[in-house]
Amino acid sequence: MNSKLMQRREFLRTMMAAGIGSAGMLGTLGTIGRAQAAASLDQGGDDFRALVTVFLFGGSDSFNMIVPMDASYADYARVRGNLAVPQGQLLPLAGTSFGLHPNLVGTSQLAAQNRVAVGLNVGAMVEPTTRADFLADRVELPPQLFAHDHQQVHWQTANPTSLAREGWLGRAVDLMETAYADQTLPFNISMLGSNTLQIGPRSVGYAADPEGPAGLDILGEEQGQGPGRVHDQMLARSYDHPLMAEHVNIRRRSLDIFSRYAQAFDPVPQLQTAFSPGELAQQLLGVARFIAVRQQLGIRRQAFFVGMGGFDTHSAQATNLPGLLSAVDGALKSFYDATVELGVAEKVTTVTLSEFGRTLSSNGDGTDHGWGGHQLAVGGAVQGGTYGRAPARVIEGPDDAGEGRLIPTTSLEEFLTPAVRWFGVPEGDLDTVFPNLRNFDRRNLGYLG
Amino acid sequence: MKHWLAGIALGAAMAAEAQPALFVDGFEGADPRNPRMGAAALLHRATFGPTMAEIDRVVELGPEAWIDEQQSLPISWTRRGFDVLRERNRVECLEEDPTDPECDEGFLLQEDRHSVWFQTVLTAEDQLRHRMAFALSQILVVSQRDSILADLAEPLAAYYDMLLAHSFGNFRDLLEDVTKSPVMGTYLSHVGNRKAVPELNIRPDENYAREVMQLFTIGLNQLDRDGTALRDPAGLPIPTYGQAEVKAMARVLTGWTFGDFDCDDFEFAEEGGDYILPMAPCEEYHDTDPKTIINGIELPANQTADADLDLALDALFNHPNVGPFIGRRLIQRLVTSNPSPAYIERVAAVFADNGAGVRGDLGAVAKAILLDPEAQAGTDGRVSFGKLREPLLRLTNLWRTFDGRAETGEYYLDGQPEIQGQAVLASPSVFNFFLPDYRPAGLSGAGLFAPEFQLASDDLLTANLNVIDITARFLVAGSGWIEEERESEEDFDEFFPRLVLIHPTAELALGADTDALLDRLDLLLLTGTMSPELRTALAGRLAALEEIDDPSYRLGETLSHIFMSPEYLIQR
Repeated sequence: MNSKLMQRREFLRTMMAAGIGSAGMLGTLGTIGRAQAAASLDQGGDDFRALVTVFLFGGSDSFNMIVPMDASYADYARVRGNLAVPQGQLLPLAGTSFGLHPNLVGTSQLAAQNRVAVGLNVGAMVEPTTRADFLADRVELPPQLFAHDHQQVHWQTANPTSLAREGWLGRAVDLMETAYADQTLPFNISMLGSNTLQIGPRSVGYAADPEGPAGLDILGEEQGQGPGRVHDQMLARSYDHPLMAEHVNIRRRSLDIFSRYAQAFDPVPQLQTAFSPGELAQQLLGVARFIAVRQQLGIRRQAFFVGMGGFDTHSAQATNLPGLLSAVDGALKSFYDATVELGVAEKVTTVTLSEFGRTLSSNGDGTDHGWGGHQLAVGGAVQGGTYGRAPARVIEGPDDAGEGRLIPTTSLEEFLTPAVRWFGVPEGDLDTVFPNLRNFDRRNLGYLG
Repeated sequence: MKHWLAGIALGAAMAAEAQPALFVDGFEGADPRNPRMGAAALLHRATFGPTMAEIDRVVELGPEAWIDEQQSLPISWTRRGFDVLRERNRVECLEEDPTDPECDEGFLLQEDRHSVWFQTVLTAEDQLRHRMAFALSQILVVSQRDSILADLAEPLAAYYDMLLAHSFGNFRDLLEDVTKSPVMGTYLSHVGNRKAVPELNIRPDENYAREVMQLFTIGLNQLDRDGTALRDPAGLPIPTYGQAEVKAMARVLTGWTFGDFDCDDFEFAEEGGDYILPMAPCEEYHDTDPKTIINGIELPANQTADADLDLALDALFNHPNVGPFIGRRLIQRLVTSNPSPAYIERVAAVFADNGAGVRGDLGAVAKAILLDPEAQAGTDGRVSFGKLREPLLRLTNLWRTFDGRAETGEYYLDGQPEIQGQAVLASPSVFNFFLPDYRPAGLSGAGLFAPEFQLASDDLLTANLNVIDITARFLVAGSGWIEEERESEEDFDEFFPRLVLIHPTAELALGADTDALLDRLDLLLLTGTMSPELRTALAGRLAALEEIDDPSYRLGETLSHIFMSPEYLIQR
């Protein structure tokens, strides 16, 4: 719209990045640490697996993403009223009695290849919960149901009452340390900054841009000399103040990991597969790049955290949800295609997470915070289909906690355990990853064999 | 613009005359913390960056009188700068395409809003008011990252100015204006919220109803006066409300639409209306059945939307949680991440009664936070005292303390808010840029919170250090590097006037007197706490740089080292 402003921005970018060698400030890589990047590493390609978690922040309205096509469509249409997706517009979800929102074109194509599993009405619970249990208040419930922050924490920790803010993915990779002792770079990588999911008892993961790890400009090309010397001296000191000490710990660790990745990302790996410029698509492109460099760095297991916000569709849902679903669909499809391009389609599994589903009932032009919701698992190793029991879509029906906040019929532990097992956590450690798993019957829904 | 530049020049001249030495006659020995150091510490908490002139002012008046003076200064509105920008955008737009109808009235972009905000907070005299407004903007959150608000820069600025108007006012008034703000009504979707239509299976929107309780007033659990969670006999926290109260509150909030709407248009709120006028009620869409809200408070049947809202906001405002809940958040924004329960209790007591029997006096709360003995004692009181500086406040510190400005007087930054992870009214969600209870993994053993560390992930940590490094080290007026760029960049003359450069006149005037320079920077940036290690390293580096004939670069690099040092980054 206003190209002058665009030019001004570009100029500032140029000005601010010029004159400082190749170490630009905008997430590109400097030359630090090239020497340390290992020159010869074992080829880990034979035994590689990546687990990708896609968090849809705000509570995604998955009930308009995956819609019954059979006789229960009438229940759905009645309860959703002005928000219902017309039956004729639904795309096929091959091999199931469900259809997909018309914007999930790529997902429908992947489903036709048997690559999409749907976990039905998945949610946060402590133990199995029925409507009668809920109304009589006779089972333990997750604290602060329906509050974004607490439910986001629950989905990431699967252990919300513990004081230790450890995520299930952090616990999972820490349990694999011994079996993969040769891998010294972090298993966990985030394209979305800080999160709880990837914090383990010992590991904390690493956060990067889609362009790859970022280095410090001040270290420049004169390592150990020049301006970087003062920086290094200050980082080498010990600090009594706990916040200073922690800041220094984070910086030292971050610089060390950066230096070991630097060479592999210089230049940034290129893919043929096209990704849209959207936030989630670019994050998944970043994931594909990290997968692309795995062999030269001797990496055999990678777990990723990506995500996008905007799903808290209290208003204008009919206007906003289709675009959100298109963004997810396009990103998942591009990413699957990229794993095919990289020859690792069967070694990469992607699962969606979201803090809650939404009310089946409408607040006029949107939906409010719900509880259970459908989730996807996508990948070359996935056996397509629906898993778990479909809920009754009836207000005051057997699965309703009120206003169409559906009591989950599949616990998040049941949905995620197959992915964690497939990733490499030994059977005996699954209950450590998911402390409440023992409260539920199904340890293997079967979508990953 | 001339006037503004003249003001800056005057400030710089005053700063140059100010005594660089740390010790002022008559004070040494009286207080182990030199009053100039104490003044600098206060200014890091209460302004967007200390200046020598302001340090002198605090020493002259004393902290309490300085706060009183700050609270009495006229308000520097951010929106005053908009007419000029709108006209400029109109002209530039027409230059691009004389037939573009969108150029007609001029328009404002979010980067214009950010530019004006920087301009205002860097130069305004009423610094404390703006620090409070910035803190409130991180509690009563709206954000440009909303798909509708993304295009509404001026209403967002109006929202910030509304926070500014209430920064030393009463929390009850603030809460009402926030609730009736069409920007908030859009962000948390209570504009156009209607009573239930059972035959269509439609019921009131719960969005604002929930968040006004969870995030803006009382929080999820009942608190003691000192902010610690009350527990039931089983040791569990006691919720302040449940789903029933959320539903009742959603019904309270029915019947509100844009201030310029006829009620006939109520159902078309999605098309948008006036985003600056307060929202107005439409009684036919208001739920008039009786309601039971928090603490079992009953709202009678057949009340107007306004009357219901009044009672409901009174109930929230008078809930005992508000003082400790809001008090802790404000302490975290201004002073320290881990206030003691006693500190929170003292601030909450002032919230409950300002000494004249008034509840919710934010001016009194701000004063209590800044003058509290725990704030004065700093790390002498609690080892963990302090907070990681917010990325945006590092930049304002650099620019305010060292006179950062472009020739045009504008502040356009590339990639906000993505690169820094922070820009005013641009958080990812209503949960702000960071949570009050966030802690990085390494601090969980110590039981400490450090909200700002949520923006210290590997990627943002690095980006933020690079931003401050380059801004301090290279973008210095008169540096040789700028001259090189002038010669090599074709478009330099066109764009140079828009580059924000610092003008550290007083510091450059110290020439090769390294001791005097480091004393001065120690006071301004580290409140006199510079470690011997940092001082030695900086002195050594300055000596090594003597062979480079570029005093501006030498100084810029020194600033960069300080701004990247752990002892600066953790404000104490």
